[in-house]
Amino acid sequence: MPHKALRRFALILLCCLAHPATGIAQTLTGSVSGFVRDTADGEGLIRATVLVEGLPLGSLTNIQGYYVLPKVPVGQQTLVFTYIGYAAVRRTVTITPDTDTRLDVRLQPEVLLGQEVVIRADSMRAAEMLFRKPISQIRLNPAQINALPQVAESDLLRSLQSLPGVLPLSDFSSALYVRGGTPDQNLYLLDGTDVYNPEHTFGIFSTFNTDAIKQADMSKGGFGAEYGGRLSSVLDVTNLDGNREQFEGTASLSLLSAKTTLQAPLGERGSLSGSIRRTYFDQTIAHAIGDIPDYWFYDGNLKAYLELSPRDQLTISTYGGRDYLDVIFNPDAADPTGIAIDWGNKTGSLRWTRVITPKLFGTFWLTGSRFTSDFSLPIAAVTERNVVTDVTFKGNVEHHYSDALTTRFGFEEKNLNVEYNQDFPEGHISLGHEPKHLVMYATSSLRPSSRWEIEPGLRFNQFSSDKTFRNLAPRLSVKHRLTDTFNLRAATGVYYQYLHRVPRFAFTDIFISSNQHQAESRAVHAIVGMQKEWARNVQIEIEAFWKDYSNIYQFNQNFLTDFTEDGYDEQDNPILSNTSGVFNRGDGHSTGFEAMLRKDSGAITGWLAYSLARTEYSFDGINGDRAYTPRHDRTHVINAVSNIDVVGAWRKAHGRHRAGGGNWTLGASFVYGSGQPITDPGSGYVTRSSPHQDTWWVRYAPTEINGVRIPAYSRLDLSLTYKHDYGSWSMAPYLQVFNAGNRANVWFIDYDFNNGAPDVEVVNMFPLLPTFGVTFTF
Amino acid sequence: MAPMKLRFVAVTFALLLSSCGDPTVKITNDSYEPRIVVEGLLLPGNSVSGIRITRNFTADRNINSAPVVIDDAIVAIVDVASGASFALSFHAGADFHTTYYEYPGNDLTILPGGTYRLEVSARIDGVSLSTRATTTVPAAGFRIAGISHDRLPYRPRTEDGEFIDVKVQIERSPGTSFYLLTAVPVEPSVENFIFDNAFTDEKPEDLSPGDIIDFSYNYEWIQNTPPTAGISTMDVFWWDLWFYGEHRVVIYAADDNYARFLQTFDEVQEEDGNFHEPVFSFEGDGMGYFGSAIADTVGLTITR
Repeated sequence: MPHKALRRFALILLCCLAHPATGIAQTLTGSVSGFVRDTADGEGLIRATVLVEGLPLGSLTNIQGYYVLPKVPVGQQTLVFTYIGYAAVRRTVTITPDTDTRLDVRLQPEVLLGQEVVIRADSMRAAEMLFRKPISQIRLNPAQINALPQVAESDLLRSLQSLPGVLPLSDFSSALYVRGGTPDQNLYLLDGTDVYNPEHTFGIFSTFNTDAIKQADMSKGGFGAEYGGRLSSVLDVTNLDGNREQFEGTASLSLLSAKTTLQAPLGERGSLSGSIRRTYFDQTIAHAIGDIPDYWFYDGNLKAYLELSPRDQLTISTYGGRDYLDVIFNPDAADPTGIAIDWGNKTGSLRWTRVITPKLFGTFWLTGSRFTSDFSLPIAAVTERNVVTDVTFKGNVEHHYSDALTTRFGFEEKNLNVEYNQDFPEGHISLGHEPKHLVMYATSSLRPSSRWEIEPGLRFNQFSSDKTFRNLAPRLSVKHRLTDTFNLRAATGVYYQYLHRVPRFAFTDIFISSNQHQAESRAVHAIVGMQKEWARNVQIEIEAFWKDYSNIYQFNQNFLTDFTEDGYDEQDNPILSNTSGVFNRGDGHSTGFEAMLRKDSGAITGWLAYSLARTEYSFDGINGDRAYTPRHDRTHVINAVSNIDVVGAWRKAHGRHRAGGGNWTLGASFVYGSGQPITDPGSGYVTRSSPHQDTWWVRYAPTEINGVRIPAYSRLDLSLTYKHDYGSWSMAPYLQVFNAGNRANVWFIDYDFNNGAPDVEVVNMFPLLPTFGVTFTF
Repeated sequence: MAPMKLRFVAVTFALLLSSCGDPTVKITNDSYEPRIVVEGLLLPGNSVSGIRITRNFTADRNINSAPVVIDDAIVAIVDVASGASFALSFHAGADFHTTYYEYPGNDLTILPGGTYRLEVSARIDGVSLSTRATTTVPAAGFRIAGISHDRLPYRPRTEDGEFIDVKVQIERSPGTSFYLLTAVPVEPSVENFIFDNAFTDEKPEDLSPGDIIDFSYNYEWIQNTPPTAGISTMDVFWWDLWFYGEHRVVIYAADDNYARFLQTFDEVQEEDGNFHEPVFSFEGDGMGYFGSAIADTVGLTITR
């Protein structure tokens, strides 16, 4: 490793791995380790809490449900296993010196125990749960995602848009703008595999089928050294492993699609789950209306879990999805023509987890991800192909030295192929790189006392395309329990990104890797926050953040003036194969404050959130090089989300116990956001494009980018679901009303002139949209 | 506690009310600044004429009732090589197309390869403004070398079933990498409109005179061509041809100023509705274009 940064990294890595022997009680101890699983389906429970009763010792399960208590005093000890929504389990074990005791535990969902609707953590305090989770991270489970009323059907990314600090650009986009960042700055992981352009229907829906999701963790910033490659956020989606106990399934019909998810045991030591979804506009409404383009998409995933031995687990996961669109300009023409577009993702991952020793847990992945899009306009001999291929081998080893120290270290080798080709009669665009991204990281979790947790980390990146970039990215997170119900926390870190995006409306984005023309992008996060438990199961989280960007890239809208050719074909048509001029380079910063009141259990669940944020960019060649506010900036946003078990809530309010399962569920989601900035046309002028033009046009020349704001955005969505059990199966028809108040939220303003008179039209977003569907479970 | 609850209910009610209705959009024009608008193209071999000097205006201004032409601007062309300045005079016409500035004398000849500067000063909204721009006329050498078909039916096919495209071969001007092609029907009318059209389902009763005008001017360009003499090919796409009958296909070898204007002026509103800045080549308070080009014309007839 010739580079100075590499030597520095190795030194710091050694420091991280050097286990402190002082400060930890020198008594006889043994360890306890094992898996915490769900009784109902055998799935590992992620981040369940394991505590030693009466001692300040505890641990959390990892993504496979594995936990380690490394130094438990010998003798009889009672372990308490808790997980939100599940009954706590107490187990007494005898600890012997220097011996590991394997203890696998299954927790039972509380709702199944006594048909009690009020779900709450038994002995685990909300403050403890909050303390354990990383800063700025929010977790959503399928129940919470499905409970949120949406357009046509539930959608993961749209659900996330109801969280503080996570914004959409419009109703027509599921893309996430996290704390001032742009969608390309989000890392999307599906079972450990990177997903590029996770969009269906030109971004209106996301590629994640909510029925197949086990858990989704959204980290809005300050994330640890195990994550990188993006500047703003990480969305880590884990799909269902499959039910290890019995066959189960769901099937849903909505106005958009039909989908089903099936799970089944695979022998005694494994499980299988699979989902498939397909839209059917093209088979139903399109036949009746006839004037809408031929469009459909499908997606599906298959996941197998195998317990090879008590110490080895293997997971195989695949995903595939594709959108197809054919547009015929005039179907009635004698010789019609049109355009054809299709795009989609394929991912696959092989994950091997091994309990190397009871204190050493290893996870190794081989993942592949491939995004392709194809466009053709035959009448003009135009074709376009966009490919992002990612084959990654990565590993993560976590060592539980003691209750006071856990160390994780890992590596990643990412082989990318980023390619964009366009052929048209007067030239060719051929942009392509095959970069390699090497990563090493180490991070330690230090708990010098029961009140403090310090997590330093370091990530080393080496990204090689036609130029090599090497960067060290330090991370630090500090948590402090001020009282039993009040936590303070802070995090900071440096983040690098080596992929840049050309966003396209109604077309999938094009990714271009860092190269000699576009350097790596860099961001620094600084976050401080507090958490408070209020009334046992109500949590309050407040965070303030500061984010600084440098070398970020924005598509150059005037790129045609800046393109430079690299050569010519035999017809003297230019060949464009460099990205010089494609982007404007810039810097920026975001600051903000977020407060969230959240209740995850009981007859009424949901959250109330407020965010105050400000983002400012400065880009070369934009706005006369002056700073400006990007379009996605919203100063004030209020989110209120509630899911009400109607009968349960009524009976609780009247002091009556409830018999029988809950049937009626009312969902409501409200958002208010102050207006987004937009560029007004500045001034109009009259011109012709050539002396042979017999008419004249009015065109516009903006002088101040995003200098005005459109009116505030506000929307109320409602849903009502009735679930009826028929013994071995149940049916849940639902009605959803998107934008129940039918507010005419402004998307943009269209300026035009007709015969010399101004013609200004406000273009609105979705009006009131009632949709319905039904879900069967069996 | 009761007032607190009341306040909470009131705030909740107000927020819910905000989710209804039709918000008012105010067009403020806050960023408007007066500018001199220039539409000027020097064509070698032609007299200096057709230089339009107008003013810009706010997006809510009716330009029928408040004309935009500036008739009292001080306009001059400077031959950069000699330093000679030529004052242009205003020519009042019957409409926008026949109203312009021109050089009335005969001692100014625009030469291929020559460099010329336009200088304009005017008062707009009581503010004195001035601007200037410099163009270098493309070098001699450009001409249309030939057209693949000068007479053909609408979208014919070959015996193999492939569509026949119309291609124009040009001899490039050394140093010029941008060529504009315009297709203009000689007799645009409802009667001549191609209704069996692959790109639109317009019906005769739907076509207004304004639509006819809109369909009767189309343009394409090629860019980044080799900056050396040689042959390039330009397509007259079928979506550029909406009428049966004769068309004039005019091709311009354009200088950098004109090219940058053409590349950016018509695309300032993005797909999501937001605007960005076009690229103009003026110093001072100007916008629009002052450029130069060499033009050549070829005929093309679409038969019924």
